[in-house]
Amino acid sequence: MDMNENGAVLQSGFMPHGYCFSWNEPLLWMHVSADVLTGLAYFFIAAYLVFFILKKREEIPFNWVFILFGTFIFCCGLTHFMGAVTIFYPFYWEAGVLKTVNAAVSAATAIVLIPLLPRLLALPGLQKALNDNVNLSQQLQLKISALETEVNQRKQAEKLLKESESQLRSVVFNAPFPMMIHAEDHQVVMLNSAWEKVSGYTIEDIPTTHVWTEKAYGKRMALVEEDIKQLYALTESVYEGEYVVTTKQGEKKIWEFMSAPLGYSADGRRLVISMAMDITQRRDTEDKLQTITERMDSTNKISPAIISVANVTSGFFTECNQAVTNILGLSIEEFTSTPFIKLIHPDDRQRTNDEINKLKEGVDSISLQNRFLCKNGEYKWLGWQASRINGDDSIYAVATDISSIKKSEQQREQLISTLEGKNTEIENFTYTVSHDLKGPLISIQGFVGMLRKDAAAGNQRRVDEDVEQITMAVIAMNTLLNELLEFSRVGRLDNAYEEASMNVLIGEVIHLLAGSVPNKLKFDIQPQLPVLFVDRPRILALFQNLIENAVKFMGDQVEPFIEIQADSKGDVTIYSIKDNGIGIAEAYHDKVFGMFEHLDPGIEGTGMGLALAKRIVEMHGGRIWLESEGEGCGTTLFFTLAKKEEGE
Amino acid sequence: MNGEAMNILLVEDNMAHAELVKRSFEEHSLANKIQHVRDGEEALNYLFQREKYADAESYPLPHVVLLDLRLPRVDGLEVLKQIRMSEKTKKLPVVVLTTSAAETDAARAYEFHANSYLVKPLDFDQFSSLMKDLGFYWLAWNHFPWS
Repeated sequence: MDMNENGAVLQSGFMPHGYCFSWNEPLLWMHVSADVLTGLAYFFIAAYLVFFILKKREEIPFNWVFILFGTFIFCCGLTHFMGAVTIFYPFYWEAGVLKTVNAAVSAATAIVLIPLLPRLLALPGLQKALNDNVNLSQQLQLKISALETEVNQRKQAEKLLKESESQLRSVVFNAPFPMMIHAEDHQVVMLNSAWEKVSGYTIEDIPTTHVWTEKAYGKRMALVEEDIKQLYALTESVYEGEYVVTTKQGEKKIWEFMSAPLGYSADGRRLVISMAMDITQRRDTEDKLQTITERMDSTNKISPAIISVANVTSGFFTECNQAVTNILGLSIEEFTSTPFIKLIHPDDRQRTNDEINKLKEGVDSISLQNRFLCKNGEYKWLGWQASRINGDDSIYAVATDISSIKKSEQQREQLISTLEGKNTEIENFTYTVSHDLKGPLISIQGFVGMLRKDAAAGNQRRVDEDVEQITMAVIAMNTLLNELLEFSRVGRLDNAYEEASMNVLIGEVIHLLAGSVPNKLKFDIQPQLPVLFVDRPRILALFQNLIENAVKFMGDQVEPFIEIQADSKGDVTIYSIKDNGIGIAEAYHDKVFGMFEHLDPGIEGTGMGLALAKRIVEMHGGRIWLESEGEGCGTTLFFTLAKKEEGE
Repeated sequence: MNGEAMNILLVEDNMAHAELVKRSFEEHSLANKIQHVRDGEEALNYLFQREKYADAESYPLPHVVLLDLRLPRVDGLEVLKQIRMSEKTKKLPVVVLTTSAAETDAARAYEFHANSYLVKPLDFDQFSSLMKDLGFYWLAWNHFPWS
């Protein structure tokens, strides 16, 4: 300050204005700062006006007025600057010049404005501009509020969008099948929970599709990457097919992939969503089913048993295997196109239906045996096992060919009945033998006792009678024993079969019986009787017995005759010996063939003759029977012999 | 014992046995009359008074039938059955007298309501003794339903 004081005073001889303030600093600086600030403000205002007119608003009328105003304000500014300077430096001359210029400019402006004022007031646009301004601001207000509404709406939409986006994310995340969103730069954008759960990998494990393919596909990685690469060019969803992926746990899973384009990410990358269906279990089941089906097919093919499905309502087999052809000779087509009841033997149909009805009524399974028609018209025994197929009117039925079992069953039954017959025969034999042998013994014992008494009494007539009785009993017993022996030999001690002419045999018998045959008896023997292949001695005994019987039971026939014939009927030859003797009442036609049976107690004989004949015929596989119109009408004896070829 | 005349029908195909029975009865003076028939058919004819036995005076119903089992034409058991089936003869005492000791024969005979089943003994003394007892029992001691 000191420098200022001294220098300024020395230069002009005037005192700086500061002296007026006694160099009171606060007062001094207040004046200085106010003057400088005002000056600066005037400069700026002037500059605005000039700039506004010259640069921006050339169309404004009376622009020179604005320049004038600018100059005027600029000069005002200069005077204020000068005011600040004069506080320190006493440039009062220069300050006076400036004030004068300022006054001139101000006065000029004021003078200029006087004539200009009415013209300015007459400017038409001003009010309008003011009005326009109001309108505009109203419109602006409307626009702004519209804009605000729009902004709000946008915000709302954005909010909704965000909400729906988060819903979508949640849907994707919680979807029950694996999903991955990935970008074209290989980044994995998102993995859902199913993906993590099934594969075992989290997004941290597989940040990129590279890592994923490497981990999940191993060596096949390159191929899969190629497939993935093509996905980004997609415009619509695509089915990719099945891939075998390896999980984090090392399990192999079969995934069926579908991918779809998902637009662009915020940073402009193309996105793809890939969805997978884990079909491992399904494939596994399919494989098992396939195996089971194949096994069943081959079982059906090789099974010796019929395996079938039958519909019990329609009455048809709907399915069956090759075994029907093997067993019945019917083709599968024939078997399934014929109502099954027609294939069953008429005698077995009712029984079969009854069993099927049991299934219909809820019984789980049945087994039965019936006869099925074969292609060749014969019937075969089948043993069935059948069970219901739930919720269907079909049954599952399996059958085996039990013909041979049935046959051996029949053979066994036949054998049993033969054996039973034999047993009965033996029982009868024992019974008869014991009974009939006891008879003569009782006689002998009895008459020996009588003999003693009669001898003691000296009754010679009675003694002779007793002896005669004893003798007769002994003879009877001897005959009986001989015949029993003969009987037991038949079938036990057989001779070799040989050819024997029936005519020759009969000739021999007649020769043997010559003594006991009455002369008047006529034989009528068919001249060309067959040659037999038989146990010759037994057949000789047979003819002897039969001819003897015919002679014995001739009665008092005046013209007795015996007629011998052979009559071929088909395979069977029936031999007959007919007489016109006393005949046999029908009631005894069977009884006479029993052991020790004799119808007439008055005629000699043990009753063994026809029993022996029957035994011989049966040993030759034949049958013997008789026909007689009754007593007095004669008797015809018939018998057959089984054909037995030489060498058998 | 009463003084009534006693009749026996003997059904026996063995002539020697019939002779033995007859002689035994004679010895013990047991029966007034023994009618002997040799087969089952004849026995039935007699009992039902058929054919040559039609005359009831000459062929009266016996007090007792002695019946053998093994008979020509009609078997002893069949005869018994028919006797029991007829109202006229169903109460008739029938004693089976046979050589058969077979249990089945005895059982069947009793099934058809035989009154007794006797087996002919082989021993003469026993035979003789049986005939005596048999005669006394049936002809002397036994009380008949119709008298």
